[in-house]
Amino acid sequence: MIQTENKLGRLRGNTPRPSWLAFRGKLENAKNQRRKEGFGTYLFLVPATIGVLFVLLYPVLRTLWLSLTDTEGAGVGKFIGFHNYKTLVKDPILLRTMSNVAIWTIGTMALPVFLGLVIAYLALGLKGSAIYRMIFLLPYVLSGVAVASIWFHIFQTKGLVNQFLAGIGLERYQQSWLLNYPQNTISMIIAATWSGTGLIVILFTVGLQNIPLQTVEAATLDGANGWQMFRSIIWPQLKQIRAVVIGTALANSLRTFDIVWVMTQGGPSRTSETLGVTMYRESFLLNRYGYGASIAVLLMVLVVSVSYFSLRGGLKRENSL
Amino acid sequence: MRTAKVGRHIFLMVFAAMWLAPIYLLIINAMANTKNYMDNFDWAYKGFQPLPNFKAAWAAAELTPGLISNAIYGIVGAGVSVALAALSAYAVVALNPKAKQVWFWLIYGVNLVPIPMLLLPLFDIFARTGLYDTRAGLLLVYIGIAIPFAFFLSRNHMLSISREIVEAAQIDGASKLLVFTRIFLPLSWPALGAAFLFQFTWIWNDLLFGLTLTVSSNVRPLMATLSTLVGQYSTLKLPIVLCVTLIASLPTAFLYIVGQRLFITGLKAGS
Amino acid sequence: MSSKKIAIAVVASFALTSVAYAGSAVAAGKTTTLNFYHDKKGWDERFLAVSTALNDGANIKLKPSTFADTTIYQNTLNQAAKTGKGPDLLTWWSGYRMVDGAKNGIFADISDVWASAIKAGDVSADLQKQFQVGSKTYGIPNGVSFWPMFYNKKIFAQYGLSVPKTWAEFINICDTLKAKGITPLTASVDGAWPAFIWFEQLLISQDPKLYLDLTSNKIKYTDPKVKAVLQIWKDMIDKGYFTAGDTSFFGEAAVALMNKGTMIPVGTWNNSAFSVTGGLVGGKDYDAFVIPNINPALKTQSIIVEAGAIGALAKGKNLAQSKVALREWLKFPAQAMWADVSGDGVPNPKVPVADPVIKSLSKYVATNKVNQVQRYWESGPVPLIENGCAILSAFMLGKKTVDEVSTEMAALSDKEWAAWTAKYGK
Repeated sequence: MIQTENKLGRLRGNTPRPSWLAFRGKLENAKNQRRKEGFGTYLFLVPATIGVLFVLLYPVLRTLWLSLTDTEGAGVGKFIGFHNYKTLVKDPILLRTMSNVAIWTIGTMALPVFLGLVIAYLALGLKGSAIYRMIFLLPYVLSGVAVASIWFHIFQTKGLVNQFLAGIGLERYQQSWLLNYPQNTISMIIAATWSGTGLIVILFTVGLQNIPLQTVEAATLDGANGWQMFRSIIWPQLKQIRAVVIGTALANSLRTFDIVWVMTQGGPSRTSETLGVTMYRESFLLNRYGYGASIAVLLMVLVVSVSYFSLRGGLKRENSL
Repeated sequence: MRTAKVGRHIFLMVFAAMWLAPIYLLIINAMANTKNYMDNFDWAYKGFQPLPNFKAAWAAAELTPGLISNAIYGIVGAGVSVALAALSAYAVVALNPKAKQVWFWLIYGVNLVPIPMLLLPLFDIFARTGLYDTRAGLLLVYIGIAIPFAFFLSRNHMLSISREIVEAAQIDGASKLLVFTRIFLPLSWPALGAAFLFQFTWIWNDLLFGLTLTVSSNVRPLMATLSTLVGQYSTLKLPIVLCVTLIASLPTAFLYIVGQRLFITGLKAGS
Repeated sequence: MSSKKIAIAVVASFALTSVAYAGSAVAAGKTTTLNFYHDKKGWDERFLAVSTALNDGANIKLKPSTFADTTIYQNTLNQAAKTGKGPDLLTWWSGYRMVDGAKNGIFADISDVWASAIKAGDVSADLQKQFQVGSKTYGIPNGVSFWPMFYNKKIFAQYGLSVPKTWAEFINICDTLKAKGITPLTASVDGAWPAFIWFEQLLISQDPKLYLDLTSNKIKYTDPKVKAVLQIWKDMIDKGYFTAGDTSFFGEAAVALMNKGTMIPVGTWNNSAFSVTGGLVGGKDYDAFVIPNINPALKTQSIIVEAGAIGALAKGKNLAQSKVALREWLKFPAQAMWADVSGDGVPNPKVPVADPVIKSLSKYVATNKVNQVQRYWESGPVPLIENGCAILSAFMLGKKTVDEVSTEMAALSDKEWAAWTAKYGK
């Protein structure tokens, strides 16, 4: 745009033109520019969009459609409008499953996010910080099933937590961690924290390293102590990376499925079910595809809206730099 | 100042030790002597026989075709998705398309869909089009799923590339493609590298798509094959299963140790 | 754009090659290879062993594919019915679990296979009803497993215990073991489904007719007789007879528990875990008994029977050959092969049982005319069983009282039976 305007200015010798001519000139320039930009630009965007739509389009449309039918098992269902949604709202499991989602969300904020920030902050500039970060990142390379199996053995009634408690004389705190609510959900959050914190440490490290040194030095000269420094300087500077971390952590905690399914299958007696598990259970275990689809739609709406509101605040804009 | 540093080290060392504890458990039980091992997963030293356990694990899990499959899925899947993501991130950042927000949410949005929701409809399409139980089919899915987060990371990094450099190149008459390959690509390769590592790991560890969309042992990814080894009818002892898990995790662990530096620079906003 | 074109080309070539291989046999020569899907992890070798018998008898080979996840397996086959693409043969469950597949055209009608097999004496006519929906039969038995009580013979001898003939003796054994620091019995809520094991066992030990009436919806879960059984269960739980709910008792875990002396009520398909994985000698280290009746007035004992199913896909390309394979499966050579590799019982009565524990158990069941009762898992509308197990799990963990459980189960039962009959009739 700048290029064309400059060229025009030179051509026309910067003499003032009648306004309507100038307006038409601007319009033509804009159209030419758009045509030039349009063709090539979309060529860059299209392959990724196709790749994504291949995976997204049919499943989302089909799920939306299924949620309006009573499809079950191997049969063909018929259209029943919003009946599934009405049933869903009255389903007694909904309260439990949503409270578990809330617990997972709060737990994820409290543990991996908070811990990640603390570790990143403390490790900053320390000798051997790379080694620390590596250790915290290591669980990330293990598959979800491996993580869940290891922690299942740790939290089992005859498992290592109880053995440890007995070993240090705290037998009275022994219990069946996975069989009682809310301990089972909390145990699984601990497992998820173990595997997910490393990534958050890295992200916050990046955010912290991006803070300009002059800002920090100036604040130190002004006499800011540790806490003041953190609150007035560090924290605001982390705004953008915070949005990324919280956005992705939120989206993941809302969709929690893998760890819960392997460790407790949402049990016992459906006490540790999250929305993702309920959806899987209805669709895959009970083969109630219509009803399961309505839960999927609910989950999708939840995740998309939460992500939108949390990312919107901190995402860098293309035009602001 | 010195005491503060020591304090930080102590805090970090305690947490690091806690973090390593489960890995210690994994290793000590994977190397255990299988003869007397009977469902006793715990801290105790139970013998150390890595070689026989590795051999048994390799055979039981058909690791050679499994590792080859995973390598193909990981390298091609992550590679292609990062390439496509980079192209679209460049477009959104530098080429000023209309409705930028729409493109962003469209491409990033897949990341927000719960995966179990995708499984059955994809299986449905795959069965009807003959993509079921094929490497190509699974690759297409991996690429599609991997693009969003790679796009997110690339875009984030590319936004920090100075506008002046881009405009200078455009004034010099450089085409869009040239600006991409000569300016954006070299400057963003740490971010792209980081994106590749993340998505490679995700694809490498995938279980659900592998289970749903494939069944033959030479098409099935490693984690899906691994899950056929456990269960109520299984005759394999736990150390062997844990060994398979260890072997399966070595490539990704190696990549991360080697590429750790890449993360920090790759995710940096300023360059 | 170009990446998609390449993808289409790749996909097309894959599709062509798979079409070329599908249905293989006819062009290739005499041997037919049938695609066989199953979700029994670790059983590939057993099926391949049966395949050699099928090959000798009818020139049919099996190509087994393991599905690691049972839920995904079931869903794959549900979709297969709609798309027409799937295996030739498949494993499934009997009883009520066959209804949806039968009514929606997943399984082929193989009543003629049964007629021929019964006539040749290869299978007992009593088993047929477990594989029937309406008047047609849709599967053959994939092994027939009893659910006895496995016990550690050496520890019994050590404490002067012998196989119980009455319920009082059984409780005495439990008390003795408990006094010696051994958990007497296994129970689990791991995966939710094991919750029905003790429920069904206590019901049939009290009165098999009670169990049958309950599972066919002739009496309600709030019936006082049902509540009485729940109370007996509660007493056992309160006395601390059972292992913690998050223990598993299959495979390797079973051996560990057996070695400690705990008694394990599990299907005889788990027998190979003791003999092969655990290296225990049947009849010497461990054995099995039929659980005595709670109600002393009953004349005969009862035992739970589990029969898996093998069926043919109705829309399968090689349906005719699949049916031949199923008929051949019931014949002596294939059945003997199965008995050999599985260490479990087989439906063909002509096959001698090799494993000592199964042998003496089968002999006991036959001689004493023990009632063989279908497992709870296969005995009711699927959602009732699945959600019912969640309620029973809570009971096992002491979270619900007898009244709460019976009321909730009754409400669930009414709801699901109504939905089931509305959908499938009968």
